Amino acid sequence: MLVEDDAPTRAALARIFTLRGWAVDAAATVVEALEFLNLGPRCVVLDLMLPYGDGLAVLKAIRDAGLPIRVAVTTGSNDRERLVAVRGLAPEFVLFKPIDVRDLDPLLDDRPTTDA
Amino acid sequence: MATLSDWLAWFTGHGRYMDLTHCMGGDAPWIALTIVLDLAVAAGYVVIARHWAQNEELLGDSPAKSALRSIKVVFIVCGICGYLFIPIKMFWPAWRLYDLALMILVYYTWRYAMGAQHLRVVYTQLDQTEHLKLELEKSREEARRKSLFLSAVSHDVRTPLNGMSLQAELAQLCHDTGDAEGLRQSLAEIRKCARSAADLLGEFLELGRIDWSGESILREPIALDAAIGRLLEAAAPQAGRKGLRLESEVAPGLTATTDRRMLGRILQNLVENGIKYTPSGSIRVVASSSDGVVAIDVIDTGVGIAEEHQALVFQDFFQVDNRERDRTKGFGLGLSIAARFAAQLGGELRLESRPGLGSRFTLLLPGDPAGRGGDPDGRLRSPRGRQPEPTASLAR
Repeated sequence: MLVEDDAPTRAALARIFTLRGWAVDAAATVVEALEFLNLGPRCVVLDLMLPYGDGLAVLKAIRDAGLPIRVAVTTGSNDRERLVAVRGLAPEFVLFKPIDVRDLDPLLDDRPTTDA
Repeated sequence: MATLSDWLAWFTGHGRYMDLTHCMGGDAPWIALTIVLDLAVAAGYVVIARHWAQNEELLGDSPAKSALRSIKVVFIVCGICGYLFIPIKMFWPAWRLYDLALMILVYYTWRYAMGAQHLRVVYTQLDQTEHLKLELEKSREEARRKSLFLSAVSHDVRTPLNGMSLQAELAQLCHDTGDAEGLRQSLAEIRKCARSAADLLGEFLELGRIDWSGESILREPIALDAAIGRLLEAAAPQAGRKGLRLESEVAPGLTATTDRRMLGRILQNLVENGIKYTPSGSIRVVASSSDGVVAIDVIDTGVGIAEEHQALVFQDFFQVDNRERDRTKGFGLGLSIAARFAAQLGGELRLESRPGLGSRFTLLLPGDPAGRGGDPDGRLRSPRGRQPEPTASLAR
């Protein structure tokens, strides 16, 4: 699952993952992302600064529910407090924008059989 | 030799009760001393009260003033309680004991009363402390605002770069797989991201110039009819693409003595904002003058702004209903730049809006800085004198 409010970024990531053989659900807001969690994604690429909500809420929901989902947080923010809060929820990866799509390879293991 | 119990008995009047003999006989000197000491305490209170009254005005309406008021109340209550002892004295005439206690009270009351002349220093210090506290609050708020601003800048600069980088990656993939249409789309997205980054950089630099370099203001008489005409002419293609009408209504011969570039930028931002948030209808620019204050209204028939958002629209990066962060709607800096320029010109920017009906942004400017509408510094003297028209007529 992709959670990203910037349309060009969301479109590019969705296309790249699709070309690699993954099924992708793309959300632009926290509300959409929380709904898509019910679809049981294996991995989430999660942007933090989202309109009308914080991406952190999605990560918290995943951790609180103990869902077996690997999460890569991508952020353009340099806010230290925010990053401390993110690391407190132990995402598998924290990547700073602009990201290199190859940095996401460890997140996406070699079994692209379900949602990314 | 007198024992301790003898001394105590002497101080407490040998356990006697008041009768005429005690008043008229051997206790009379001690009673007189009690009265003198009571008067001395009361005089000390008067001196303290006078200093309080003289210096209290030094403090504004602050927590320190309220704390001192509480101390004063305690002080007065203590004094009243002291006088409540008088009936007890009538039944238990331990005059010498009272005199001893009163002497201590007189000493401390007058010590405080003499020190009270320095209250001015204390009050001044308290006042300065209050000011420093307010300054500190302001400074913290400013630091917080800057931190938020930098965080937003960091996010908004990195986002189009991220989009560009990923679209370039996608373009490479499309090229490798011979997907010409995908490649074309990716290149178009890269161009959009680059344009977006350049626009953002332009707006940051403009904000920086306003906030930090203090641009000089070149005031000159500007014929508003011509200036607004040129502005609408420049905005016509953008409005035309959405099928919007651009209209103007300017009082004949109306001029504003202000900075041409800043005025142009304010009106351009307001008109562009109107175009972005108006799906159909018109954007109308109306200029008039009253009591030496020039008012320029930019009225649109757009989506309007909910009341809870109206106070926020002039803040940096605030955008109403741009959930998708559509960068064709800008970055949320246009109105904050316009408000900053308006303030620099000695005027102000106001908003009236009703969701579904549209919005009216009103720029108020001193018409002639040396004339009736402004002071010699070009500040708006009485911008509140002009009452906005009813909201229901916003778009008409």
